[in-house]
Amino acid sequence: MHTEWTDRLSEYLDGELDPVATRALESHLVACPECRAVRDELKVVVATARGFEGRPPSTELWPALEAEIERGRPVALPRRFDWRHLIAAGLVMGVVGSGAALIVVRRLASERPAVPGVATQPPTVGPQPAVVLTSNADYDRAVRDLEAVLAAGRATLDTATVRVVEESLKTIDNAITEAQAAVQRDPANAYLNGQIAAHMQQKLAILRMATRAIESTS
Amino acid sequence: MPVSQPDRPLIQTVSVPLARPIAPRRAADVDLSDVALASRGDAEAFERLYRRHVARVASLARWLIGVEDVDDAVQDVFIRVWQKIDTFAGQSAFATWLHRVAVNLLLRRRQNLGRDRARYVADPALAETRAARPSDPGLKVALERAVDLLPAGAREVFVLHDVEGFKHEEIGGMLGIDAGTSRSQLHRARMLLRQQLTA
Repeated sequence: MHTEWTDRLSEYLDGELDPVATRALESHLVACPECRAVRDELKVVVATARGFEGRPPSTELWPALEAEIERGRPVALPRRFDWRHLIAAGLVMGVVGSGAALIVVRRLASERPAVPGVATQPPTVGPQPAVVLTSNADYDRAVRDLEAVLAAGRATLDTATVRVVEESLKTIDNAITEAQAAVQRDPANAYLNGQIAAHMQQKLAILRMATRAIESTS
Repeated sequence: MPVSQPDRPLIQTVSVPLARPIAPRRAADVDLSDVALASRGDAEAFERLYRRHVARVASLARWLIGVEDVDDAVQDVFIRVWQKIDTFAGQSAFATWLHRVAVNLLLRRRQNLGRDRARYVADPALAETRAARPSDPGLKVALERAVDLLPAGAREVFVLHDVEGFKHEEIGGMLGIDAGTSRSQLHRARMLLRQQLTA
């Protein structure tokens, strides 16, 4: 092989040779089938590289990525969940009885509860609570059931997923604890009550995603 | 007697033309739709983007930082993309923007890991001994496998130039080498890949 010529083939193919060098190389290529073959093979390499499609990761990364995205969402209710989704999720999980929602939010005492089964407060004189937030035993049971599935199946998940799930749940539990402590001091605070509801939804979402990931590996 | 015309119905039905078959949307247009949704917080749209592009990003990660860190690196790339997706202005294809984000993040990650720079010393012996004929039939697959076997420095320049489309001056800045070294590494990579494919 004529390396003094083939060494310049990449620059030639990329249009980076000056006109004089280009003409000299092209004259040589006309006369040298061996160097022409090298040029043609390099063209194939370059053209093929442009069409690379890649190979996906060996493990399914979306559940962990999704959990990370949900964890990083602002406190406002996640877009993918509203009260209908919560209720539907409860029905699917078979833990909602007699139409009670997992998490309920009630507006001022003068309005009807948003969902039946909400604990009501007797009307009082003076400042009224803007929002009362209650959770029922069904939510706690749902969380316990999902946590049990996660504990039993965590060995089937990759370490990155387990780490993300555990860190997310720990963060959410801390946030719930702090918000609940704050609500004790300021029960009428609608923002704090909304925070608790959002965090509890996030915890359910992460547990559901983790159990889905476990089920997909079985 | 003239033939009576049928009475005109009081209510005329309106014929609705059959919807024309919709031509398959270009991949770039599909991406733009999902980017618009994802930038408003639609995680399902983002998942569609992820599924369409994860393979290329995973290969990029494998080639630039190595096999052992691929999963974490790919996850980091897509988290960053999610965080910055509302900054995508549409001046390039989404894939182009995504790969720029990926390359920047992967190279920074590699720098943080403190990988050494001896990779750019010419070491043809290493390439020859590691060379092995890929067993996959398709040319693209064969070439991808062959890229895996390139010496690190040649592989990085080849990936950044021929796969990702960066210029030598840009590659030099990214990798801390001069453009001349980038050119010679590229040629070395191409010649080794050519050998793999013709062996």
